[in-house]
Parts: sequence; structure tokens; C-alpha cells
Amino acid sequence: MAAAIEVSGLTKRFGSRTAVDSLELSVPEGCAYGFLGPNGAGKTTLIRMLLGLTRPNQGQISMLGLNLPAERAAALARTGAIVEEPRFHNHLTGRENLRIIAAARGSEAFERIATSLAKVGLGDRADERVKRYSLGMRQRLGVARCLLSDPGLLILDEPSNGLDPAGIHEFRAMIRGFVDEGRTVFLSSHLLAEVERICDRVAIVDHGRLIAEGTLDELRSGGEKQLVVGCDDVERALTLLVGSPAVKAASVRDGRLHVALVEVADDGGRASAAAINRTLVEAGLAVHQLEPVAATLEQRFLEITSRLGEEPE
Amino acid sequence: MTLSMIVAEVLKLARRRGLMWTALAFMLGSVLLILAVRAVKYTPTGGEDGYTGCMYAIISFGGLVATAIGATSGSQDHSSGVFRDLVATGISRLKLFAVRIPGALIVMVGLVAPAYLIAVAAGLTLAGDHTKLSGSMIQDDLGYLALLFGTLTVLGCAFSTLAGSRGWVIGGLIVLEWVVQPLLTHVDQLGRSRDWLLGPAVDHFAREQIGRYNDLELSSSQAWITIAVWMAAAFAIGAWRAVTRDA
Repeated sequence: MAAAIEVSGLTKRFGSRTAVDSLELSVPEGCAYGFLGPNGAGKTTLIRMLLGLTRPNQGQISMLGLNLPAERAAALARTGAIVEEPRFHNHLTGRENLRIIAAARGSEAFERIATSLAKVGLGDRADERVKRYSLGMRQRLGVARCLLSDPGLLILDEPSNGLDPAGIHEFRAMIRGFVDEGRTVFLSSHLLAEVERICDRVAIVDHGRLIAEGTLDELRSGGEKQLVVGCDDVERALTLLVGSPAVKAASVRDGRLHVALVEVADDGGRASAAAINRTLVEAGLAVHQLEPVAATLEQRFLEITSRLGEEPE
Repeated sequence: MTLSMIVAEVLKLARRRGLMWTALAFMLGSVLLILAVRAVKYTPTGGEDGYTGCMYAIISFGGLVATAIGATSGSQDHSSGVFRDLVATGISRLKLFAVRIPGALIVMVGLVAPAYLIAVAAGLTLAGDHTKLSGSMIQDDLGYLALLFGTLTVLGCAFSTLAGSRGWVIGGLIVLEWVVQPLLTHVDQLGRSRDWLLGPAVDHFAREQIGRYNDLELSSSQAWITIAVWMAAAFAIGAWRAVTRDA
């Protein structure tokens, strides 16, 4: 599959601080791609470099098959973007704000103003001044602004920030709709549950470096295997399992025993689960539950990013 | 695309209701006040004298308005945060800067024209038995106003692009135009280096009754060179900042 965004050896330094550090990234076309990282991880800096808002110190970028900076104008002509919170001329109406951007994009963009506004549900409020808009309406107007270029690639930086649950739900459907139309959506966020619901592939960055990348299933399955154990004497079971070669860690939470399994030869923890069951049954405990815990993206994210902190620099 | 971008610049400025109404009030109000005072205290109200009185008001308040319009034009994309969205369209940053100047000039024409038309109308129709306003005077004064307001608008636009905001730029240019330059023209020790001051260079093209720097003698070629250097430098500074700043 062709890449909508291809980044190689990309580095951006601000004084002595390296915001993006030799980043390698390939975003396939036609998918929703989540770009995750804690605050200060380098997410927005990467987006700003993609859009030509700031210059990289080194590295190569290509967008929609076009090399930057040489072919930036052509690449950006087919790209729509929201960087951080969308900003507008507050004294102008929503429609007038779109006219400002359409003037820079060309005559076809003018023709898309009405349809873009309708698509984000702002057709009726387009002639009100933006200073009267709620944050959710501004976000939608930001998306309408992106659509003026009929983009093959949408770059959205924290687009759900400040939206209420209904707004988030609407936004999620809108983004999936864009992907269904064949567009690529590059979505930077720290709202992990949102990314999990919207995106097909995910990259996790921290300290400006790529730490993990893959489909959601690949990322989730890469983590620690855990089991919830239910039995008639949880405290005794905990005593029996602590120190067992099949158990990495165990604790009691909410009256249930949570066990992190030791994996043998990539078996997904099956041998360890069997060993735990055997230990408890042989000790005379009545085991009524052995349930694998599906890791969420959030758990994997926290595992990955907190593990990083333990690595020597 | 360039024309539509200039229209967009006009739209951004023209929709600033507070700025527009204040500017119109300054321009029209000052001219109407001059004419009202003349109607009460002098005869005739209009004619060449009445028109020249209106020109003082237009020059003084128009200078303030040109500075404010230029400075707003140069800074509004940056202060609103929209500059980055414009850059992200792929359009050249140089173009984004360059279109601000004609946009601001068009708005200036719209603000000055009504006041000037009233002044001309008074000069022609309320002359009584005094000297009527001549066509050549109108032509000369129009050229001077275009030069004066044009240069101030460009300076405001360029320096506010450099600063990213308009407050200090408006204040700084007012001090430069109405305090620093008049003082410097009277410092004889500066000799011919005063030829490079913008104010006297622009005023070289004003008739004596409305010129502010009549003491300083300049050749026309020197005046044009000085104006060209100031405009080129201002444009270069604004363009450089627009091209190099992080959006």
C-alpha cells in the first residue's frame, strides 16, 4: 500500500532540547492513523513540520508521494489540517472565514464552501460571527476548512479537545466517514479511547522517538498477559501464587485476584495459566473463574511510555 | 488567486466595525467640524481656504488612520492565529505578506475618499466671491495624499508583520511621524543626512500651505530615492519576517 506520509530520520531541535529525534514513520493511504504520545512527546512538532510551519533540522518527508520541501505547495494543496485548536478571525462569520482560506486555495475551493459547511452541520449557522461559536462549532468549522481542498490527507491535531460526549460521537462518525470516502486521516491525540475507536493503525511516540507502531490488535497483543482468577479464598490463592514460576506478579483488587503471567516460548501464557489452575486445585481451592484480560490501548500505552522512563539515556 | 486574496484582505479589514467606524468618524468628523467652524467664524466656508483647512484635518487624521489600517493589516493573521492555516494551504508566505499592502490601500481609499470629496465639494460650491478651488490643486493634493497615506500604510503593514502585533507599531509610527522626524529636521548638525528622512521626502510633493517640513529643501530626485529606499526596506523587513517566522 502506498504511503500518505513517509518520514525518515526526521529531527527537530529547539536549542538543546530535541523535540523530534530521528523519527521514522510510514502512514498507509486510506486509513485512520492514530499518532499517540504524552504531552511534549513531539506530536505537534511533527505536524508542524509536515505542514511547513516550522523547519526540520534534518531528515526527509514525503506527503502523498511528493517530496518536501520541494513539492510542498502541491502536497499541501491536497491536504487539510487542524493544528492544535482551530483559530479563526473572530470578527468574521464562519462562511467569511472559509472564504479567506478559499482565496488562498483557488477557485475550486470557493465552490466547496457551501458543501463543506453542510457536511459538518454548520449550514444554518454559517453567517454568524465566529466569536459566537461554541468550541464544538469551531472544531467543526475547522474540519469544514480542511474540506475546502477536497483533501486526500487530513491531519488533525487533538481534534476532540473540548468536545462534549455528543460532539465526540459525532466527530468520530465524521472521521470514519472520511476514511470510507478513501481519504487518509492522520490523527494526533492523547485521548486513547478515542483513537482506539477511530483508528486502524497507531504509532506511539515519546521523547520525539517512535516506540511502537502497528494495528490496534498488534499493539494490544504485544503487552503483558494477564488473568483474573476467581476462587473461594482469594487471599490464600495469592499466598500460593506469589513466587510461582508461572507468575510475574499478583495482587488482589476488588475482591478478585489479578495475575500477570510468565510467557513461555510465545505461548500467550497458556502454560502459566494451566500451572496456576493446577496449583490452586491441588491446594483444595474451588476455582470458578480463569479469565484472560484483554489489554486496552491505554494499558499498552502506559506500559510502553512508563517503561521508557526506566531505560538508561 | 492573487486578486481573490486581495479581496480577502479587504474583507478582513472592512469587517472590523470598531476600526472602520472610528476611522470614518475621524476622517468625516474632522472635515465637517472644520467646515462648521468656518461657517460660523469665517467667510466663505469653502473656497481655496476652506478646502485647505479641510486638508489639514485629512492629513492629520488620515495619517493616524493609515498607520492603524496598515498595522492591523500586517498583524491580524498572526494575532488571530490564522497565519498558520494560511501557510498550511501551501501558498507562498511572501504572497501572504504582499497581498496585505494592496488590501490595506484599498480600504484606505474607501476611508479617505468621502472626507476628501466633502472637502472638494465645499471648496467648489461654498467659495462665495473668493478664489475657487482649481483642478490642478486637486490633482496635486490627491497625488500628495496618495503618497503620504500610501507610505504610512506600507510602514504600518511591514512593521506590524515584523512585530506580530499592532499596538506598539501604531504608537511607534505616530511618535516617528509626529515627534521624531519634526525634531530631527531642526537639528542642523545632521546636515544632508536629513535628506534620508521619510517625512520631509514625502512632504517635498506637498504644496507650501499644507507641507509640514517647508524648512528643509530637497531635490525631487532625492525625495523619490528616499521614499523608494524606505519602501523597499519596509517591504524587505516585512517579507523576511513573514517568510522566516514559525507559523
